[in-house]
Amino acid sequence: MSCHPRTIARNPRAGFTLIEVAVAMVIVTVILLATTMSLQKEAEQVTDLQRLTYAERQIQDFYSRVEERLDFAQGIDATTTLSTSLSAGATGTMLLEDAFGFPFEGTVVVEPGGASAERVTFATLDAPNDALDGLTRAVRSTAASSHPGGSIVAWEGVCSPVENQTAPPAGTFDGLTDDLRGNLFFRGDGMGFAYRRPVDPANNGVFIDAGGVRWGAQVGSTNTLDGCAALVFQPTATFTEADRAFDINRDGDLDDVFDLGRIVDLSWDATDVSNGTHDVTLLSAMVLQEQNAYASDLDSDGFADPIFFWNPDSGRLRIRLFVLMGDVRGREVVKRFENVLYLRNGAAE
Amino acid sequence: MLILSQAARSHRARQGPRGQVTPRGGFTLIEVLVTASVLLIGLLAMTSTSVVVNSLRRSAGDRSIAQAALQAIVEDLHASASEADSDAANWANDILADYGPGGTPGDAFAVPGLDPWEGETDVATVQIVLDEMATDAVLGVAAGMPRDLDGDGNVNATNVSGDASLLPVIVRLRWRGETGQQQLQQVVYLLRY
Repeated sequence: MSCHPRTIARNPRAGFTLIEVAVAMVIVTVILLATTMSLQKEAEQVTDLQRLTYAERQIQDFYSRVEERLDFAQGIDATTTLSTSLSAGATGTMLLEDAFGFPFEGTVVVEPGGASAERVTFATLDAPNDALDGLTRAVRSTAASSHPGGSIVAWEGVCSPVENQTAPPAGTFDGLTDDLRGNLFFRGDGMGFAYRRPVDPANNGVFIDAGGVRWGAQVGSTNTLDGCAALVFQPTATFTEADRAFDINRDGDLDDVFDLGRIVDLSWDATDVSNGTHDVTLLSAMVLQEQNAYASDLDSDGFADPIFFWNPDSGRLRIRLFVLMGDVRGREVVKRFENVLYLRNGAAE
Repeated sequence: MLILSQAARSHRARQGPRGQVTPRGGFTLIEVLVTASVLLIGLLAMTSTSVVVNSLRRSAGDRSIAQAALQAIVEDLHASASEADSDAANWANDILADYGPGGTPGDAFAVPGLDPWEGETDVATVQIVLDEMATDAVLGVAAGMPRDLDGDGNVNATNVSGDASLLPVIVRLRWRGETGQQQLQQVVYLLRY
């Protein structure tokens, strides 16, 4: 085979042929694209994992802090009756038989389970007079109505099993929740848990005196025998399924609206709120509850999901959280967490 | 085929008049392919690292669920013991009504979010020790057995369900994790008081 002299002259400088360059460029481009995509995916996954891990760590931290607070605590059933009737239009004061355990602000249910059941928000607790002041009537989609003296008034935090677990008549319970001990009918919304714990006001290591355990609470930095405390769900934002295009409670529609809230530890002077109130956020706003239907079923398993579920007979407190973990690869992640605490000191009499 | 023939032609084209490779030859296709392979191996390594990290995270998540479930069971056992009739004749039986065979939740039950070991049906098992003479070796845990469980000063009863004052309870959680079969166990002592 002979070569043309001009061709031979070009060969030393020839470098790559066009086809070589094209093939090499295609290969390099494919590799670069794959690398870029892989790195992007990796970065997204790392961010997602960090978010999930951070959220999980917050929940674990929350449970630890609750355990620390409730280790020797005694639960309080903030349920009482109206000492005088309450008219449908009254917004001033609601007089109670006993306001012990009711937080310094919050929501109560009057005549729970009945046709006249009404949720009422109060702005202030007037402990010396066993009264709730600054009423906002008919909240959470209930209607204002008059309530006779003697009607049951329960703080919305309260949630306990009803006595008749076999076949409770309608109106005597608010829902059925699944539990380690089987399914239990309960009454209440389960939005909080009132408690008190042994205190040492003189800071001399004496938690027991002649009268027994010195019950109270730490209000701010002060340990006081007059103190009372409560863990409370506080909604801070609204979250709609339609906005996020995400069926949070898996009920097959995008119609539901949820409150996104935090869990705070409230403490107050139960003899006179003006002596002091305090609140500490134990868990940031990542807990979900269906708006106007607190304690409803949040995972479509057919059972209600109150946050706090307290059994005064056994001293058992279950805390179930549905937590908005964040957006992972374009999808909201909601995860259920649950813990059970045994309060060795049971319930306050 | 076209690429290979082009490569062969290219290789020939880079030879000088005397068949020597010129210093300006650049990369051959084979060199590019080798480089690509190295990069691909790197990519595969990255991907496998990601898979491992995800697997470890899921494994940690499973363990976290298991620990929460274990704590819930232990706390509930204490609540059950507290709720039970304090009469010695009924106390242990009341606990067995919750955590014995046929009770609720019973002595073996599922834990949401965890899969049981291969060949097993439940994740959690609760073993209430009623035999004073059972040994740690037989039980497979350090429960301080054998010991007096009914407070009569002797270690001779084979079933203290009718007069127990102290009950060792072994709680086990066995689940199938990302990295194989996992287990957590704890011994709890329930006191009648």
